Amino acid sequence: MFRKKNTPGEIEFIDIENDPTLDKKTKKKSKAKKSMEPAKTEAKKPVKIVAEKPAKTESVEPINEDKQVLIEFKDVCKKYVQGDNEFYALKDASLTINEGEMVVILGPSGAGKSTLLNLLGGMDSASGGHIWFDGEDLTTFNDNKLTAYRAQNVGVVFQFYNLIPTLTAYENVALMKDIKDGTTDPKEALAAVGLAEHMHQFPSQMSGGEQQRTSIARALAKNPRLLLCDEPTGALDTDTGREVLRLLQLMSREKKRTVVMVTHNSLFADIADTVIRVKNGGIKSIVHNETPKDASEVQW
Amino acid sequence: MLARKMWRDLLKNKTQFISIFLMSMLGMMIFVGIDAESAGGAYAANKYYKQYNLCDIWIQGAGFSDDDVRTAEKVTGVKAVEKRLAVTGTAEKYDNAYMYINFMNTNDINRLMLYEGEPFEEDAQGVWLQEWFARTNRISVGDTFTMKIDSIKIDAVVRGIVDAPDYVYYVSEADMMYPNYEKCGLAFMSPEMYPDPSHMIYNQLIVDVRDDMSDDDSIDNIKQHLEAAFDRDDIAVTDRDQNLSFATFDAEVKQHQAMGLMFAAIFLAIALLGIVTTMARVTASQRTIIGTMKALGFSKPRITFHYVSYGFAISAAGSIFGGWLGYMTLPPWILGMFKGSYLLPDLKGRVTKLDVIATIVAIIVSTLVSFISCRKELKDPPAVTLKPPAPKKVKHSAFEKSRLWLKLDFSTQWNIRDVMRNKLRSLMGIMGVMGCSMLLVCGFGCFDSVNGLVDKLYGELMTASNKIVLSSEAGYDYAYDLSSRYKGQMIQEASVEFVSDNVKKSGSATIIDKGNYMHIQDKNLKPVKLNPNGIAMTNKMATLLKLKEGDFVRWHLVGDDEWQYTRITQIYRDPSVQGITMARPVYEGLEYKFRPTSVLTNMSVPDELTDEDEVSSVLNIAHMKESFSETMEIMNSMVYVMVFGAVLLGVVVLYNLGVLSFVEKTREVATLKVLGFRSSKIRSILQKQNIWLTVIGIAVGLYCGWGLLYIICTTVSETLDMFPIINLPTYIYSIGGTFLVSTAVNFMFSGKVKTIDMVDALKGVE
Repeated sequence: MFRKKNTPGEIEFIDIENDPTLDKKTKKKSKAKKSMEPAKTEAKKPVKIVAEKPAKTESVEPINEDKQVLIEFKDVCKKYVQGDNEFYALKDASLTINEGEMVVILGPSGAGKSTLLNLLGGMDSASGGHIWFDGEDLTTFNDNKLTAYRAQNVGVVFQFYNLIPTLTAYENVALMKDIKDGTTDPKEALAAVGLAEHMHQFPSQMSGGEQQRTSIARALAKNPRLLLCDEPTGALDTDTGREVLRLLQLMSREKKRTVVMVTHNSLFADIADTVIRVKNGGIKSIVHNETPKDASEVQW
Repeated sequence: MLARKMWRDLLKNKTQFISIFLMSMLGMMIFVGIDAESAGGAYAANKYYKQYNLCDIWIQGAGFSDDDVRTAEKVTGVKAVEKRLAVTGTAEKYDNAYMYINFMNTNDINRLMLYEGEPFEEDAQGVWLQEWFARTNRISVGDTFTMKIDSIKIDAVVRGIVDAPDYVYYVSEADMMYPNYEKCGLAFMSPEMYPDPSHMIYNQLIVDVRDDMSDDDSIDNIKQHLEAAFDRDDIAVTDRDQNLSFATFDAEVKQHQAMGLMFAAIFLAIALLGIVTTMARVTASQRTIIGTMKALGFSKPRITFHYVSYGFAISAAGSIFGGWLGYMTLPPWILGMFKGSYLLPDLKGRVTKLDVIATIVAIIVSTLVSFISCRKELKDPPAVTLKPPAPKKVKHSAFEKSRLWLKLDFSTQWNIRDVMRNKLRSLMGIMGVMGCSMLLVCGFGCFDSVNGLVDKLYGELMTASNKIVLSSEAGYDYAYDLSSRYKGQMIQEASVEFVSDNVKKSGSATIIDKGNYMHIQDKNLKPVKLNPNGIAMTNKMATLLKLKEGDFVRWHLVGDDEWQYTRITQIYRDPSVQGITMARPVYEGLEYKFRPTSVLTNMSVPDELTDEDEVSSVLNIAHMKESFSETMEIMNSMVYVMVFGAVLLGVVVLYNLGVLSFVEKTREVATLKVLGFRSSKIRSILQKQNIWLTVIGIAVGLYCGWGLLYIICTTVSETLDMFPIINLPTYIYSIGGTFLVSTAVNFMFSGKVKTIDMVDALKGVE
């Protein structure tokens, strides 16, 4: 399938295993008369990248009828101005993320992956383009609506956990009750990440892995539709990191949460349903992975 | 959960929050305490004045008859009038105590408040004595009390122990400035007790004004009507504001209010600065936590509310607790000291609406200030706040570009930049030091000023060692004999009423005969000679009358209806007596007869002299000087409070400052250590800044301390012209004391330099 015309800098890719005619099944979703094509892939083997030209190439996207598009980026820019200098952290990025997918955003530092994550989470606002979440355009949101969006829909797991140091694990998770109704019971949330025993410890009394699991429990307690993870294993050793990855994958596979993870570790691509590669503020490729590995198999 | 976070954050930053708490507490404690004290004092006084019907107007004159009473009563607005004879005498048996003696028929105005015995009645035999005097001299109801008025002796049975609303405060001629109720009593008697009742001449009318006419304007009108009704020049019509007892207490209360406000303002200003710096630091250090909370979906108002509640909680706790503590402690303590100076019943603190409003305002302002100081971290989107702050843009100031800058050594440059980049913190340090040295200078300056006043009074202006006070029996010849016998100098002191452009003031006239014991000083306190042909007026009286040298003033002696219109040829300053001074020939040139009231001498005077009818008392100057200092209890306590406040202020502010800057500098200090600076070198770098700030603070503080002392001295009372005096030792003690506080506190922090672990400090920020 061929996507509509691409603007410079946008990334296109072709899934040769897919029939371009599937385009017809594309559902119109956006109110802004933009086509949002949920991708579905029937492919049995991993995708093969055909085109990798940063400027003008065309992409074919598989359509998956079972999956709903949760997020679509269209020509999204993030510009910083410093004195007379302008600099794009993200330029003309377009992508879609389906509900329930495990997405890994890969790229070297400074490539724009954190910017992408911030925009996804409504933690920053775009300088141009559109971001749809479940049909609503985040770029039209004011501060209050963005805050409500974060509170209702997004869970974040940070590289350095970002727990409130003066609150215990239990209290950090229980904090979510203050911002959203219908959160999971903190005990359950912590038990789910295997921390039932350390509930009443302060972050400083816990190991990095425990802190990160608390952080995940905090994010999940909200029952968010979108779970964003910024280098969640970045500060952890391999074994602990693998355990965290396993948890995240579990969330996507069993709880059908949409998990978006940002990392510079390309080995993590193996466990994702979709891998988005970012470079120099632009999206280099989007690859669908038909047979993602189990997190426990990842070695690094 | 956020409440728990707040509580734990407060605990974590306890030093700073405690210092904010203390400052808010002290501020409100002083404000509410002193306001409650002065409000309570004013309330007790008003209640007392009302209940015992203090007169609104006094009319003094040479003699009043029943017709005069009726004349006065006919004036519109006047409710009742009573006549009295007020004289002074002595009580020989009680160390020649000075007595104010009142003869009166009725007692519906200025009613006596009875402690013991029976109420005052017309035509009664016996005397009613003032309570303090009776108690301290162990006189009880039923005793016989003997007093002497000039040469007349009166024996009377004590019928009652009382207080009087028109004698809340009074001083004898010997004490002059501070009351000593043991040595100075009040006696009230019926005219029946006067040796020759039919020849008794009343010299005072006390006037009660109708309740609906008791505002200031009406009183002024009634006074004018009274003057018109009498049409006599020998009377003086005065109101409560000119009455020593009323005006002194009134001024005391007002002075306390002003002082309380000023002290409270200093402490609260520092509390606010503390809130600004601390909240800015707390929010800056919690930057990523704020970012996290935002990312998690906490709304901006929610987060703002969370951080603002820190400032709110601390200032509310401090202000309310301080207010309560102030109310509980200060009024009983200060009013307790009042009891030695003011004879007022039921003195107790009283909370006013103002206290409640002030507490609320203090809390609101603190909350607002913490809102402003944490707003900065809250305005960016979470993506920005999650990251560490962009380094501050450092602009080179003009000074840093100058050549001089390059010549400075590293530590000076480093410290200048540090001060410039932390202006608020530096300002707080300067203010703390300033407050400390200001209070010290002012406190010690009070001692200097009072001692200076005494020295001036009895060392420079009046240089005799004994003052023989003559009674009205003594004629000129007697005084002349006395002055030749003791190589003395005769002077006459008389009460005078001055008028200029509708301003009317009571004062005194001093007429000096030949001799060497009386001196005057000009406006700048330089000794000058009294112009032998002119009339000199005190600076304070001239200011009150809005007159200057060369102007004319109308005046007359109280008890004489001859008005004078004379030119002021000289302005001089006198701390204790306000009025005019002239040489005897000038006085006689106005066709007055010189009638000495005392003789000054340097020779020792035998005690037996007081047995003579012509001598009222002999005042020993050395003795007076001593007793003077002893009676200054209120002032001493004020000074202790100031010194205590100074040290507390200095320690709390500087400690807080130390914690703030130490935490902020930990990384820098660690870097310096890694670079190879020795701890002692780093310490001296840190000390340098403290010394600068301390020096600036002290310089400003000394100046402000002088200003504060000036305000205190000039507002003491209308009759006292106190000069603010600060001696060199005071400056030395104050500077030394402030430096001691400052360096002691800073030493504690610079000592911590050794404890900084380089590796730990240089690790990533969490």
